[in-house]
Amino acid sequence: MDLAIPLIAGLVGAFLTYLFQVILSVQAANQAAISDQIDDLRRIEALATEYWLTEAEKKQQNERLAAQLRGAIMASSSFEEVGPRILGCRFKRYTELTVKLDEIVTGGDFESERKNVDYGRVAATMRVTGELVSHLRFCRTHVFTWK
Amino acid sequence: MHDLKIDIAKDFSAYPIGRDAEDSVDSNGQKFREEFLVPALEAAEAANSTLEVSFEGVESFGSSFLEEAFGGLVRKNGWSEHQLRKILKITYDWRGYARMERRMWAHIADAKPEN
Repeated sequence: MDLAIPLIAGLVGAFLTYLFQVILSVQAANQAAISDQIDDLRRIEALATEYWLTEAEKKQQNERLAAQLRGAIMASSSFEEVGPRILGCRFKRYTELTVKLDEIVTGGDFESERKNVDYGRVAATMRVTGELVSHLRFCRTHVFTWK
Repeated sequence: MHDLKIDIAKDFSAYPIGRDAEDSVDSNGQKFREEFLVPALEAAEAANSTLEVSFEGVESFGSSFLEEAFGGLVRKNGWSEHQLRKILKITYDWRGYARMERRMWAHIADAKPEN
């Protein structure tokens, strides 16, 4: 009986420590996934800015950037696998912003013979990416406060 | 259970580009809509069935392709969003295509009939 109480207390303590570590590691993994997604979005922003500032006569450069942009969008779409679980109810706002971003980046004369420099798309790309990144940063600091 | 199916990557192109033949001769949105989507949708409607369109294997979509192929169904072929939601079933294994599917439905919702 004298040994039972400290033994149970020790076991409960060990279990709580284990549980806390699991929670912390899941939280760290979720935050890392959000950080990776922010990097992917920044890559899309950089490529889109370069693409929409490239003159029509630089055909090869336009083709290279368009292919890179398509690839970057596909790569960042992997976030769909974990996004709903990590972002919870805030995933809906994320999806609205990505629809908007994809439309700006690959809309208009994207990959068309008529494609030329488009300052409006550059500005819009930066604005929507900023909004997306800000949204994800907010989510990153609150990963456990909603579900 | 879908009776009709179009696999975009296998039946049409894994790299669909642009709105019309000016953008890409073989893999543009207008060609896909006119030669694949419309006949299959009409067949599905006549058979009171659904049409499965698989995104699997496509190396991303430009907005001009998605708008012309799917938004064009509303603008040029007289389909409504309500009809399309009943008949058209988009499928994929990789969740990443959900982002493309949302864009596709957004183009359908935004399209206005031209006639």
